Amino acid sequence: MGRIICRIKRVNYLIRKVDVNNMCLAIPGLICEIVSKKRVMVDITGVRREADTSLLEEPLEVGDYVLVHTGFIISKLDPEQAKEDLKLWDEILSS
Amino acid sequence: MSEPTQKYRDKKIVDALIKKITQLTEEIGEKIRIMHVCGTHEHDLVKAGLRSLLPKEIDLIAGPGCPVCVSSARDVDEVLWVADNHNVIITTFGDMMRVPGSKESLYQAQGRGVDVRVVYSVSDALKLAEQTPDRDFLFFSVGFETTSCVTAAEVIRTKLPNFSIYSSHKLVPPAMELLVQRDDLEFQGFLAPGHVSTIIGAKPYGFIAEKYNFPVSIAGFEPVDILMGIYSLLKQIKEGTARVDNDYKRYVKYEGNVAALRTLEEAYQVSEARWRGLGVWPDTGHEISAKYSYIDAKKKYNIPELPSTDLQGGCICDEILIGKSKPHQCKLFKKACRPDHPIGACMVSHEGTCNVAATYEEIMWEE
Repeated sequence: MGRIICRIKRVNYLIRKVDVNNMCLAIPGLICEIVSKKRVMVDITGVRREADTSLLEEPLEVGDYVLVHTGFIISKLDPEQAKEDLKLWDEILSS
Repeated sequence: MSEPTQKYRDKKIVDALIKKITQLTEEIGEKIRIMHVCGTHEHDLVKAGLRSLLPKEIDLIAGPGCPVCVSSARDVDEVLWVADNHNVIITTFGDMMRVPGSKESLYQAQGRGVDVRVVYSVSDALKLAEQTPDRDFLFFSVGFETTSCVTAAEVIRTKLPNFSIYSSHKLVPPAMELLVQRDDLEFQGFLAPGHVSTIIGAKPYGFIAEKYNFPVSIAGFEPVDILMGIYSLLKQIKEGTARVDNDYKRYVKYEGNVAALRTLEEAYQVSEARWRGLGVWPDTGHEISAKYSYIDAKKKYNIPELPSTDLQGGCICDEILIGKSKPHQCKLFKKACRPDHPIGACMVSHEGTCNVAATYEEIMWEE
């Protein structure tokens, strides 16, 4: 048996406009403005959008990374934990 | 600017992880089947080409993790019945538009004059209802815990008389339990969905590891995240232990998002749910609780029993949803059923197993 090679080809189907709206996604974004107690502006890859913070107990500040799902912030990135991740991967790399 | 993701896509780390995974697989020395239960996992791992990098002993199978794909035809039929009989404007997420009902999808119904509007969020649907007080609005809400808590927030605070919500929400952990119990499925570990876990935390998966001695790991969506999830599953399989590993700690806490969970508990009660082609699964659904029945479309409109069929014209979405068959084993795949003309629900959403397989064509051959 030889080695299995795999190539991924992006096939462009003609997707109708209605498909553009994809719900089941949570997208990482950066808080760039606090509008009110329950509303903030989030920068998602350059696009600014208002998001609702009523599902989050933790306080938010400008510069926090968050996950946004259908207009609501569902989670805040834990920077300490992210640093731990990177450390763990460095260990894997060097072992 | 969005989250600095470069490190999570670093080729060096991916290569190192693949090496570790290959080593572990050789040490285990058996074929390993891992099931993920998240449409975003399927989409992102295929897009990154991860299946081709993994050793061929590892079979990553897609479970019922795409909320659009698991929506039953009956739910679409009922929503359309309300629109037809009560002159209601339907609002829903874009990817629900082409989910097949027994006779037609919302998109096809729109063609014959039913007023269907695509919204990004339940809040946008509410805004529409506020702007048009003389018409009734129904929001067709689907999704797992991630989406249901968002809808739940509006269930609690909304009292608009011309707005109701049709809940077709489903729960992940009880569905995972039913999958473990099935005799016709054989797999050794669960890659648990990252976004659902940001809400429910790592705690609810505990019973799967304890009661069924079944390894679980929570994984994120960047290539390194997914590989880390697989790596910790393999470690558990090799050690012969079962626990819940959290490999998405930067967003997922053990206890989850407490505020969101409280909202969920307040707005919903656990009920049975209809899964496309798989029948009614007990305790896997979220109905709006009796306290808020004034916003529940199922209570507001007296919907009759509607005969419905989930699978049409030889569609095997039921088998694809639980990873029993692969998309190319369906005789309709890329012939009658295509992303631009879906027959089964798995071909509709961007994260449906068949849609992903057709869009990012994986071509395999031997050297």
